[in-house]
Amino acid sequence: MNTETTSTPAAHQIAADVVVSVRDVWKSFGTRTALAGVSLTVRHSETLVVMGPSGCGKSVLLKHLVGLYRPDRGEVVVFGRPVHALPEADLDALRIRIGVVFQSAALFDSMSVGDNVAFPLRRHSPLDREALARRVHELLALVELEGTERVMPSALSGGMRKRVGIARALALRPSLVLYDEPTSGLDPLTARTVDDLILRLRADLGVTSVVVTHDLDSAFRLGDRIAVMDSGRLETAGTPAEVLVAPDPLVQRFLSTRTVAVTPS
Amino acid sequence: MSDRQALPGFPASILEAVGIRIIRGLTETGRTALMMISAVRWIARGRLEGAEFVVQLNRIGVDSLYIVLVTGAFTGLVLAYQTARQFLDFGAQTFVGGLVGVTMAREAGPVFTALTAAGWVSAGIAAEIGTMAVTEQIDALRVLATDPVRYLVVPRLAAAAVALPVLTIFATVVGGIGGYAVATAAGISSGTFIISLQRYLYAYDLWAGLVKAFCFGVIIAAVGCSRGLEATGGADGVGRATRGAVVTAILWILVANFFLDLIFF
Repeated sequence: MNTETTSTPAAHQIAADVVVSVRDVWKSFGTRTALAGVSLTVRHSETLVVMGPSGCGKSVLLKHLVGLYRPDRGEVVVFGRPVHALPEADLDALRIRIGVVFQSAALFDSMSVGDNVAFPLRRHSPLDREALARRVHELLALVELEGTERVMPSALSGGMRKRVGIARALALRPSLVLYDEPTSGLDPLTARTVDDLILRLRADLGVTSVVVTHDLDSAFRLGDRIAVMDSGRLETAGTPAEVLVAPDPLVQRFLSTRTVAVTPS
Repeated sequence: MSDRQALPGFPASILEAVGIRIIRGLTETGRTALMMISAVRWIARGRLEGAEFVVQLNRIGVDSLYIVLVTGAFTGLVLAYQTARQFLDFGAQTFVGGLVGVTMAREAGPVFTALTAAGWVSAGIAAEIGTMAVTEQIDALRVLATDPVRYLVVPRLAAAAVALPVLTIFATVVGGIGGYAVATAAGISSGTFIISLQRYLYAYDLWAGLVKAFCFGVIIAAVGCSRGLEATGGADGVGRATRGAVVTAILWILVANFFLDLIFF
């Protein structure tokens, strides 16, 4: 078991096309173990889907990638930078390169949709007023929500809030986007729209993505690779076809609820 | 079966309950102190969110004005009513103006204004920031490379530190006018009241009262922000944070008032 916590030397050993490297990460909250030795990598332009039942530690893992949680043990390297060891002030430079779509969308409810999307641009880009308005319009058009600049988040449906969250996450043109349950709580049609949006973003912008979900349909639709977690452990990882034939009984039990037909190749 | 078994989680002894309270109190104080250190660093670097400061100044100062005026006026009225009746019996009416003025400037103005603001402002701040915390908006700020202390805490601290002395001036003046009205109605001449005020009330009393109000403003905002940032667990957590903010702010104001009195008077 790797108990190393200072990772700069390790960070240099990571292959050039690896955007995210998680090595033997452990995390507990009180007596509850949320992550128990999780290791995984995400390569450039790849979409990794992390799936598993609710409470298995997927969202906790995602929050480690952007420094919202620090591991008790292990290392998290993103863009070659040791996220687990960086002070909060140094994390900001890294966070500008990462977009995060929260499970609850986490829109600032005191601001309009336009101000939410403009928020990162106002703080971290040199755009003047007109250029900023153009960029906000462009981002809202990308998520098919043109003309909603002045609407308050409370007036939006769940799916629309998620899409505004995606627009805000993409504002600074991140190279890595983390999606936390992007389709949870949405009706199947809206969930499909959000999935299509994520696929389109990857195809058009070539961003690397990590999608956390317990929605099997979304997982197989979006993932280049799929990692299955349970009780804080990574049970299996591979291409969708490899995961489908994985011998792990828990994985098979979990997959038995799948409704999308995918044939192992 | 013992009582302890019958009531799971019931403290084994009063000593244990007191110990838990003390540890919790110290933990909260430590968190607030760390937050304050971070806030002071941002202020020292001149990083004040101007627009947010103005919004908070309006919310904390202007919106609190009417309740502070009512509190100040009735405090002065009651103070003069009680003292005028007693002092007239002893023929000591020449002290009433001074007593009302000094009491309003040193104690009643700053303390009652602060206690009113503890309920109004501290609770409002804790509820607002607490809601942001439980809906992932604080996490969203952090991943958008924005320090919540800089963006949320510093403007509220600065606004409360500016607003409380101004509100105290209003409360003191209105209280003095109320006291004057009641005292003259009770039979003390206008001249006697004003001469007494001039004889016993010094500029130092007013300045000391304003410095106290500044300190109370910092306490009110710091406690509200700290409790809000630590809120967890949905609406219930926000409720706990709000109640905790009011109680803690009131306690700190009363304790601080005692020590500030020892320093100033």
